[in-house]
Amino acid sequence: MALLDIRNLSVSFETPQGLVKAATQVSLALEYNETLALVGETGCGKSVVVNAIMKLLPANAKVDGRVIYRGRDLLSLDEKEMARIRGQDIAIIFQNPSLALNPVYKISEQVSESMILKKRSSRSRAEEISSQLLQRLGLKGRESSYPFQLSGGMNQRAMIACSVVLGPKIIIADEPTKGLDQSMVGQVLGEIRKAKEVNGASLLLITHDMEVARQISDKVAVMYCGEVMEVGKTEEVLQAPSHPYTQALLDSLPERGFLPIPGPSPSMIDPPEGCRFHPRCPWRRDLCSIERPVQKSTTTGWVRCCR
Amino acid sequence: MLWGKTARYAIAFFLIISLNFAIPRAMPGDTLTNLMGEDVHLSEDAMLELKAKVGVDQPIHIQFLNYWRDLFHLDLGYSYHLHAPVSSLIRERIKWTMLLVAPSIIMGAFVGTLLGALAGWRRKEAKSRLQTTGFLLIYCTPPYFLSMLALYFLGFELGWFPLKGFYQSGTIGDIAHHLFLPVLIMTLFSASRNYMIMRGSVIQERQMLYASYARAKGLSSDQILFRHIFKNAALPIITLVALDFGFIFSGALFIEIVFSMHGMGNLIYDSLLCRDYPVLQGTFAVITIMVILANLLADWTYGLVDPRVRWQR
Repeated sequence: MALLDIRNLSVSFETPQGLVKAATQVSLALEYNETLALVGETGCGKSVVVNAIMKLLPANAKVDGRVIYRGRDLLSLDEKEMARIRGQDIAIIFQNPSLALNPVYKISEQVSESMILKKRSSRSRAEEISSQLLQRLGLKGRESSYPFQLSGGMNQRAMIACSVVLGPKIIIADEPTKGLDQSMVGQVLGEIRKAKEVNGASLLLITHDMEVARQISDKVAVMYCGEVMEVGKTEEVLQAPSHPYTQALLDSLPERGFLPIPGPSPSMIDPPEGCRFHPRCPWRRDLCSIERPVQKSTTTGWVRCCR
Repeated sequence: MLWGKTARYAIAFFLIISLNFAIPRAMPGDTLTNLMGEDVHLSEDAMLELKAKVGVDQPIHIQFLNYWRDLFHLDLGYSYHLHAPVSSLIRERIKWTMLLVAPSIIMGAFVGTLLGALAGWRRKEAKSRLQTTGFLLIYCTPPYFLSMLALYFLGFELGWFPLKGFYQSGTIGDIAHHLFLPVLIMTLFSASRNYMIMRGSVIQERQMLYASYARAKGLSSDQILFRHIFKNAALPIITLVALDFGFIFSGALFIEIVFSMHGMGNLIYDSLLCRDYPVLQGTFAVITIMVILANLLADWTYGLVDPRVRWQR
């Protein structure tokens, strides 16, 4: 039994332009101590999936399916029960640390806050632990700084401290390396990996960067237009991809020839019939525009393609 | 930067007070008349004597220095209309106005900010919508009209409250009884403004990423509002409330007139009607000082609450 089991998760948003189908029947499993990378281009629904798991979506979101964590369906919990899960069992690291931290509190206050409020620790004990954690993350002497006094990378580490201070079992990182320069990427990934190992947690990493996924993950899930197209062990998916979209994504990397994927990104309001990738697929057949492909097993996972 | 700001306020103070000196001397007509007020009639001899006493026969720079010296001695001139030194007139009135305005501003700030924050946080609930409508209604009604309604129904028809003045017998209970209605109306009025601003501010701040992140950290709805959003959203209120204190002596004019209370507002109003220039100038100087102090106070508190402001200077 997986630690987190996402089954047929669908999310749509009611908007004036129409119903946006941000995620369609997403099924994923996160095992104990595993790192799963959820990859795909910007706007394919990756963030929506994790925000649905955390129940952080806005009120106009319609969520279907099940998210089983330790035998409980998170989607059926009320806000109070969910608040207990957040931070203690499942923690999330946002992609924009400088805006996610509260501008008017010191970072040490923001880290110790969870301990005081959720674990009923004394203020001095909470401050001791948060200062140790911040030091371990390389923010020694910066505990009393405010977010606006720190660089983006430092804020990123401060937020990692905020998120993992309660020792969560699942750490979700939503594009933690977006907007960082190359030297920072390795450092931040190292911190996240460390936080995961210290807590014995599982990591669900969202990224559009295949290189990041290769560095850190055990398993990769590729999303396109709200659907998971392929899941498998990282080496297999990145070396011998089964889905033409994964192949196209890899070919678009600078070191693999910089080949753009032909055609425009699909509409999420009116997604393509049949296989959602068929309008841009070099292998498309007549069947592809009619029938939604079923999941087919691969060596280490599955793929949603008829080829 | 706080020193820079203080210096700027000092310059503003100097300029405004200098203007206060210059206006009666630059006005067309006799300087003495401009300083005394227009309804003061004196004989030729008395006029000359007074001229020497007030010092308007001296060169202008000496007059200017004397003017500042008098100001630092809290000598704001003499009202020939009311036959009393201006400074003692103001002192007598100020304490009553303080009693009326200070509690109203403080209670209005607390009530408005707290209810406004809750209304912004739960703005879709029917209860908070009703409340918002109520406060909007108060906010839109001129305070003097509200005062007249309260005076008519609660004071005149029901006889629950006295109709005028600050006191009759002078006991604490008596004063409180007299102050109840005007303080209530001023509190409601200031609360309604703070309510509207705080509500809008919370609605804006709740969209911020730090509010979502607080939720992601597992905080409850009340904790997100009061620990994370409140401090950020209350920043505009600080400026407003501090400025309220600046206008503490002139802001209650309508209330004082409707309730026939002899406070600063009425003093200014009466001296305006009688062209009692010394009193007008004196009150003008006092209001200048208060507004500048209030601005300093706003800057100082703002820095205390918002670290970004504190570290910039």
